[in-house]
Amino acid sequence: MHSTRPFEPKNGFVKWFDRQLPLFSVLHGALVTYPTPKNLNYWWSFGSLAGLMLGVQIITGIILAMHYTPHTSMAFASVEHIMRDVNYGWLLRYVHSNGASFFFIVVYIHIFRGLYYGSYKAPRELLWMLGLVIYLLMMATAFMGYVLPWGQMSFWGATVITNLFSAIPFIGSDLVTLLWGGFSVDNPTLNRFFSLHYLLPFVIAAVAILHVWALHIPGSNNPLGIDVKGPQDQIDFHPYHTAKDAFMVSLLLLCFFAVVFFAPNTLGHPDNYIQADPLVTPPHIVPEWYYLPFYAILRSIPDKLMGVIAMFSAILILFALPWLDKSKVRSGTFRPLFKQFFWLLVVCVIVLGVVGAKPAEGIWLIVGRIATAYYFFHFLILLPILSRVEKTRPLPESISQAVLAKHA
Amino acid sequence: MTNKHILAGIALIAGVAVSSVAFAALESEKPVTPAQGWPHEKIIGAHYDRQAAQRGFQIYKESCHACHSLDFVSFRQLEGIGFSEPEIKAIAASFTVMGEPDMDTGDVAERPGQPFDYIPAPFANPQAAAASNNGAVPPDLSLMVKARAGGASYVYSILTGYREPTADDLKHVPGGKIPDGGHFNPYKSGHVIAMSPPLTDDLVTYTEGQPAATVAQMAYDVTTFLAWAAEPKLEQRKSMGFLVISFLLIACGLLFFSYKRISKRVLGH
Repeated sequence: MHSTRPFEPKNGFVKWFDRQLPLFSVLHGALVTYPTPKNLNYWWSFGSLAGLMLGVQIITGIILAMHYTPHTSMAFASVEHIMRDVNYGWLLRYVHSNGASFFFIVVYIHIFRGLYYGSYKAPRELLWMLGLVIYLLMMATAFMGYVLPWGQMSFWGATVITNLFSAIPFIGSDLVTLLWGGFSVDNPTLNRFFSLHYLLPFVIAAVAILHVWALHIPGSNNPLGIDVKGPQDQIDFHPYHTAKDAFMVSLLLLCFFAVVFFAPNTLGHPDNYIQADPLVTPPHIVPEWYYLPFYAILRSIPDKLMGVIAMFSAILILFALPWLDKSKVRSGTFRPLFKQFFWLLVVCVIVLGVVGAKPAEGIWLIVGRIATAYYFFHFLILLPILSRVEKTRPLPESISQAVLAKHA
Repeated sequence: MTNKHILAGIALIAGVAVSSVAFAALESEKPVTPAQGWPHEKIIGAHYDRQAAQRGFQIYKESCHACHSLDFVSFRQLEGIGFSEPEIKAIAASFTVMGEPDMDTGDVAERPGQPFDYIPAPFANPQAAAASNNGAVPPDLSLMVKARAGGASYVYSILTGYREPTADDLKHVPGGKIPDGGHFNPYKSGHVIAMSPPLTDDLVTYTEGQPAATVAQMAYDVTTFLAWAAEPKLEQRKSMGFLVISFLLIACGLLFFSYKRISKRVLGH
């Protein structure tokens, strides 16, 4: 929803510039007078937080790249050089490696917020899908970034994940050779992963701009999930949301820096402090925590190709979500059954995450299969049925009325 | 079946998933932390015990270094555990390193170490290391404390954990017996370790005024040294972290109240 008030600069330079290229108008409309629903809660701050983490990753990443050497014989040592000899190199590296985790934490909260409040529904389908594109790009970027330190988990994680593509019929093994740049994960693989790891964040930034653009056309959804009826339902982005987001930024940084300074290796795997050795396979090859639910889905299917299809489908079905869930009511607040199943989905994804970290055997395999089945059942069967049969609770007249009632 | 039934069913499944965490088999015994604790693992005032780390370096130099390299540690870095400049020069000179090519002849000769040199590896290459060690390359120790789950306590437990296996112990060893050249160690995954017990009482002679060189004391000392070698910037990191977190706590409070104030002004609540 575009700002209705025109931008009227006083500064002569800004006037001159804006006449020829309305950059200041656009930024002013997006960051100052962008009208938002009055009732957004704290969960709506996670979009801004995700943008912040992308910035942190790009800045620390560019500086790390100045000191890192993408060669199999030097990569591991160059990371240790950063940790020991580069001024504040240890800080840059710990911020970057934990920054990836926190970027994912923020984005997962952002995604689940969208799932609960129906932010994927019309008129925001494209906004939702652009977000999923960002998520997929993040997965690829983080995967390649994890390979760069050239530790044991880097090497064997890369081997396992790239090998998945060999399951594709006919072109699979050629595709894997292309990914590797040879016949095993080796120096050409490390080089191309480094190149792509540097490229993709800028693609993410570009898609993020589209994501924000696509947000500003229909405007933000809100916890009630009802449409804005007029200016009485809205408030300018600045100063209300700038102040609120600033508080949330400080809260995020508090958690983030607590980990960076006091437990920087907790989210990593100890094996990645052992240099990559193609002749020694670690007993359990585990990906980074943010992939674990999908890794569990992959391993719960006995057939390799079907497993790969299931894993990718687990993300791809989210693109169809706006058409799977046809309920006219957006917010889970007014959908008593949907709400319960939403939390079940949260539990299901967490269980899949736990299973993904365990060896694929015994009880873990069974639990993983049940959770995988529920995951697909939830999106493909439950949501379409639920949106037809569910009796939703009555919606409030308007946002301003609900806000008044709450604070009366 | 009503929705309640479905929910109950799925809740049961989730419950099984969570409770089955308890079934995870223990691979090896849980590492023990020595009675002194690890001062570097504290949150506030974290520091390496300088005296222990220096004794630990002595043990590394006189014993571990016969087999294990320490590739990422240079002599100059030993300043970090409190060695003075003359001490570092003397330590470096006590090692022999490969020198630089001679400017006229191109010949490369060995020379005494300098502070900028890295601690030379005991073997010329992994093949030589394997040949002298029953086919297994002794791992580099630079990052050992960070490369094992359990960290310092794990390394300490391995060093102090050697014992004669009981019949019950052997039930947990693959194949039921210790293979030739192997040793029983309950902390090692699989319970068999190739390294023979590296520490014996009075293996090294500590200088006057230092504690007795018992196995436990030496294990503590050398682990402290290796913890420093793995994470030499830990003290700087944690003390900076204390300032950063203090600042953010205040910032968080101020930003929360300014948000509330702005909210009251523009929203009325």
